[in-house]
Amino acid sequence: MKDYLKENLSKGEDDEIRGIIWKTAQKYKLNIYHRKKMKMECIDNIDGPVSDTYKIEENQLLNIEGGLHPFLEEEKLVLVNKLDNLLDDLELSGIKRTLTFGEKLVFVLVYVHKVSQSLAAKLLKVQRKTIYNRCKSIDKKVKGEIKKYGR
Amino acid sequence: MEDRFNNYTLTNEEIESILQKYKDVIKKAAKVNGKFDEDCEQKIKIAIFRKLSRHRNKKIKKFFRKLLIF
Repeated sequence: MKDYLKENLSKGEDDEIRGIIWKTAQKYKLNIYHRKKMKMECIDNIDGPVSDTYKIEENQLLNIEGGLHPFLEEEKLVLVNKLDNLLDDLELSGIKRTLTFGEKLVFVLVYVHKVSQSLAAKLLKVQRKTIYNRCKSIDKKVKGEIKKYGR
Repeated sequence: MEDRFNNYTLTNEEIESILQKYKDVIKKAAKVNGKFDEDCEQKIKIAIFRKLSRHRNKKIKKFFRKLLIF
């Protein structure tokens, strides 16, 4: 056993260490280069209707008038598809991509139709805490997207 | 094949001494756009640490296995 606190490295070991150093540095720099490239693409996609205001309530996503009952799977799918189309029209595809299926349902109920969290939990057949957690993650994600696009 | 770095089972002190020896080379490699990048330096140090201690856990496992057998 060699004691590396006292003895020097051999030629092979020296070469190996230098190889690790330069390879890691090269990888790191390549990563930075790719990240910068991606940011440039995002900036190019910004030109959307910034000043337009849009009332989502007018576009009836949900028909509550027909009486409230827990959603079936098909109804959930239809609702999420409607929301996706709406977000596409508004050129908010970033939000569409980041939100999950369940979060989109909560987004429609709680944020668009202003249904209470406990009622939303009953409609989606989940616990109230689940709705609370989804609301929290929606807040985070939407805020992140808004910061990204500077809106 | 020669036995390098005691079959990659160096102790923390030994790795630290090696990192100290190669401080200048690491600083030279960690320059991004002409400026010293601390994150890059950290990445390099972690890579060296992981490489030189990658069989350390195996050695400990072997030791405990022997203990269990006897």
